[in-house]
Amino acid sequence: MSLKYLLIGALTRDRTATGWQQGGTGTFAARALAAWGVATTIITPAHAKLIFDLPSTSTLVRLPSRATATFENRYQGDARTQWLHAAPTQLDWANLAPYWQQASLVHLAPLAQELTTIPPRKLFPQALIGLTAQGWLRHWDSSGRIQPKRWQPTPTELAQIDALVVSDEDVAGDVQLVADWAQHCGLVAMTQGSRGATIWVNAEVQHVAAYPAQVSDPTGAGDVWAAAWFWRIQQGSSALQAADWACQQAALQISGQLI
Amino acid sequence: MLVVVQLIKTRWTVPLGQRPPQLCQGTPERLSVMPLPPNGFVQGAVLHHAEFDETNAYTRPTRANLRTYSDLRHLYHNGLGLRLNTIPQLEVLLRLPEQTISTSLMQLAIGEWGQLSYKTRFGLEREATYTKYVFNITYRAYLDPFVFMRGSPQHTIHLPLEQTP
Repeated sequence: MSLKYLLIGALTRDRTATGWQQGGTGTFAARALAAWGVATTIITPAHAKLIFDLPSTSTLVRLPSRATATFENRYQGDARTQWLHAAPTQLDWANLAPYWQQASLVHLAPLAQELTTIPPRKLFPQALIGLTAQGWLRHWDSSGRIQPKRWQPTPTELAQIDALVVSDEDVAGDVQLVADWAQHCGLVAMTQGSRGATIWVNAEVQHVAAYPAQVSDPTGAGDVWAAAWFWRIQQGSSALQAADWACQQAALQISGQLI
Repeated sequence: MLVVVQLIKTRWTVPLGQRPPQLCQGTPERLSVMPLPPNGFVQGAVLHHAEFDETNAYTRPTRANLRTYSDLRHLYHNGLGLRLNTIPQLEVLLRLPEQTISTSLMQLAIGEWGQLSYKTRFGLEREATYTKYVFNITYRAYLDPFVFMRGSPQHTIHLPLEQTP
């Protein structure tokens, strides 16, 4: 099993107009990383009978769960409305095997409250720890309709991670909120769709332009962006260089060229 | 010399209670390599990618693009890789990134073309989405857009569902 890129979070079963599709940050990250020649391990809570379609470069570690995270996405132009139809079992950091402590990159990817806290840094002492916080920036009502939610991490919690990625949609365009997080986390990025991304490196802000792309399917672009950014930084690129490469890979993803 | 790879990806869903088909019948397994690159002259490698799904009843690709590469290392998909041997000969390999040993799937001499296909599945046992991947690969002196439309492949490999790369 690869310890080069360990992703922890829900793989999802997404209801679409044409049937079920596999989703979740792990799906898009693993496929993109496979295209870059990088092996991944995904720890996910999922129903035992669900078969996932992942590249052979990925190892799936399935945690027992009462359900698989099940979403429905509806797009209208750039805007998306989302429903949660089933939530997975929560992961308890205390149950994580010591083997994973050797990982060199850990991507925390909460989507449906399967992760509820940032783990202590000592759990992954050798790793660059990246967080895509999407799942902590939303909640769902009794019908399952997903609504934005304010996430208020403490400075101590943010100090446990090396890099944080959110989208402007996650924070309803609140740049100041993200800038505040950047005071306590060395590397922070806010992806902005066709406008590129804004990154904070030690609280210093910079903008990175998007690459032109003919949108075929916008799903997964943010996940690919985050995976690309984390991977390149872990490999030694500067945050700015890594963000530029991430924008390029996200453009390939939305135009259907990252296969 | 030029390496041309055509990937045709076809997705279909088997609704609950219906029998899974062996293949998605009638969808193309080879296409013309179109559109040609703007300047027409290519060295290195070309990847032609087309996707079909149910949204338009498989009448035309829902996605299609063509990219050029200067280096074969960028042509890497789900553990499949390509290597040019000095003979000269193009070798199609199955290799995981952290493994040093590769399994050779097929070897193509200049002018030959090979076809490799496999399927993947996502879903429950009785309600699943299948994706069929067909790779048409050739190694030749120039880009002939109809290379895969003439004759049959000299080498064919169909991997069963349980042995996808």
